[in-house]
Amino acid sequence: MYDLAIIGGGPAGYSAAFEAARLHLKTVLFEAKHLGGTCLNEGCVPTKYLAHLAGVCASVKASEKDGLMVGEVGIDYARTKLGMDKLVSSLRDGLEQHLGREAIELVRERAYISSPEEILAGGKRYPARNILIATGACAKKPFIEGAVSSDGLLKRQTMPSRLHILGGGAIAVEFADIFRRLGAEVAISIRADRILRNWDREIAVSLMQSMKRKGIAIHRQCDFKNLALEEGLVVLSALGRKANIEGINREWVEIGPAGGIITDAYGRTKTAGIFAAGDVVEGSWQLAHTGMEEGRRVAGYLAGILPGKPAAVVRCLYTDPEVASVGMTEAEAAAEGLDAVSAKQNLYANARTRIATSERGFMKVVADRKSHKILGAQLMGERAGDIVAELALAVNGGLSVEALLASTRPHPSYCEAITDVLQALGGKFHGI
Amino acid sequence: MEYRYVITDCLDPYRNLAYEQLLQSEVDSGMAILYLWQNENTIVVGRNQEIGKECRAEAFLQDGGRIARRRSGGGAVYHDLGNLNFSLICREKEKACYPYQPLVIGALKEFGLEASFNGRNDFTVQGRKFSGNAVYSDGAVACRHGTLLVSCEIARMTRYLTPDKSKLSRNHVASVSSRVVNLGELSAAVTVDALRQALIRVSGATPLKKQPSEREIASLALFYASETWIYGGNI
Repeated sequence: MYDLAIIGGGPAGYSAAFEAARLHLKTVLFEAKHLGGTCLNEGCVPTKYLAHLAGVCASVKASEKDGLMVGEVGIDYARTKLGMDKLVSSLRDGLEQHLGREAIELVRERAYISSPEEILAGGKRYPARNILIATGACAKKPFIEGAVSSDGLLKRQTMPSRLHILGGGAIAVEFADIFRRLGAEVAISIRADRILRNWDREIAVSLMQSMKRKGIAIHRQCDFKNLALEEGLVVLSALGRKANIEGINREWVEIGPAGGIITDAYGRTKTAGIFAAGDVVEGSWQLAHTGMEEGRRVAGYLAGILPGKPAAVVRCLYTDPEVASVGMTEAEAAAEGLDAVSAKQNLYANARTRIATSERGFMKVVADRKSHKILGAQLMGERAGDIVAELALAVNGGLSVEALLASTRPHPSYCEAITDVLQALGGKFHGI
Repeated sequence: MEYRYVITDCLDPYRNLAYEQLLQSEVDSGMAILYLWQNENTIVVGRNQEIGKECRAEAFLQDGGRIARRRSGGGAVYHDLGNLNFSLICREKEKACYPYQPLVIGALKEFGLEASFNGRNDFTVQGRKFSGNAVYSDGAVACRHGTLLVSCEIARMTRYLTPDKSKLSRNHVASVSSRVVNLGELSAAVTVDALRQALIRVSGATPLKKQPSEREIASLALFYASETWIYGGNI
């Protein structure tokens, strides 16, 4: 009998598996499609591969003014796709080998929960004390016929010369920015008034301006019904993702209004012994790293290791400039009844930023007025996705502005802009 | 000798007491259930106590508190989020196989604290009490439970619980506050979360799978919340 049976080999599933193995729980993992889930195969990894190339492409073009002599800068997309596929399959193989080394049994079959203590897969029965559903999510069906979802776009062997994107969330915005930098003609249509509705307003507006400056057409308050498909136009429908709950017996799990499985802080569903983690959970952040943490928590719970308070979620977008955020915005802190102050510093004075780019950027940090503890940060600029980690540590570790200022950052670096914004914030505590 | 743990995030004393009682049906031979729970802003009186004598009930209720009565005997206790309750449930005949004292003492050792059990109902560290315990049994299954003061608001406790004067003089202490202590004062590492984890670690417990249904819990919680039981239960 297995201690834990995991359905789904994406970030949440495999993270739970590795943690369970580490805690000496007998584990079996079911993955019928491809290991690594959306992240490795159709999400994080392939898109960041393209983002990297897009960044190099844009940098090269921008460096002509600095004396870089290059001829025509173009993309041989067939080679790009080949490189992308090679990287993905290499990482996938590595993951499979790692699972093997940890003695985690891998079953390449579609799994069905026949009872809270048994899984049926490939005609065989797998008795298990606990079951973790980590089946992830998939793109909602394209709004209009002929449009593709993100996985369809990534499967293409040729680069779209003209790309029209429906949607204003993280996926839509990243694809728009990446393909624009790769040289495509890009337009975005959104139903709302601004892109990135779940992000800090200033980040969303600043990024929108940056996208417009790059030549991305942004159509707001659209009615998608009037969209026409043209020859040579690729339409990407990025209007949200829904949990993969097909075939899961509703008797055992409760499904929420957004179609995900309802769980508590320990990943427990309404049936004892059945858990869920990752994108399949109701209200999930749909981030690989939160899915990984949730998977690990379930394994820990089974071994008697209780999770602490969940860490504040850090998010980033691999646009150019990158954007990142952790913790609360000033408005969110105020809504919680906290007496918060914030300071914003633009990156115009940061040497590294000026060397690297002509894009505008800023850092905002929010802190509690009394304790000076850092409550959140919103960044836009080079390496925002990495720099945010120091601020995430501050938020989750309850560190104060002074504690961070007492630490050191090298010069000239991108991250030293943190010192500037914290000094501005410090001034605000004393009413300066 | 297996321990199974149950944790919830419910802070309602009536639901929690109902849940505790229902857990007795989930216990088999050869296992003990370790239930770890908290009540928010609650006074719990013992089976045979008169509420009026144990606390300033009206003032407490006005201050948003809840009063509950438990099935075990012993004295009135004050619960807030700085207190952790533990219940050890097992077959009556197997009580000796699952003593709770080593669990508490072992957990505290992890924080470098030397606790002792005074042989009756209390655990103390450095002569001051941080845990009071009681037991009830239906003949087949026994439930031994106790409090663990971590970061309880003792001033508030003193405001509402009316201490039995004889208890104080018997123990030769001038006040409640000098008699009890929060573990968090003795070691900053002790938090409710850390203590909960330590108890689970020391017992080697794994999660209890079979649990009472929502319907059973809700229905029994109504009983524990009923005025007849709370105010008249000692009859």
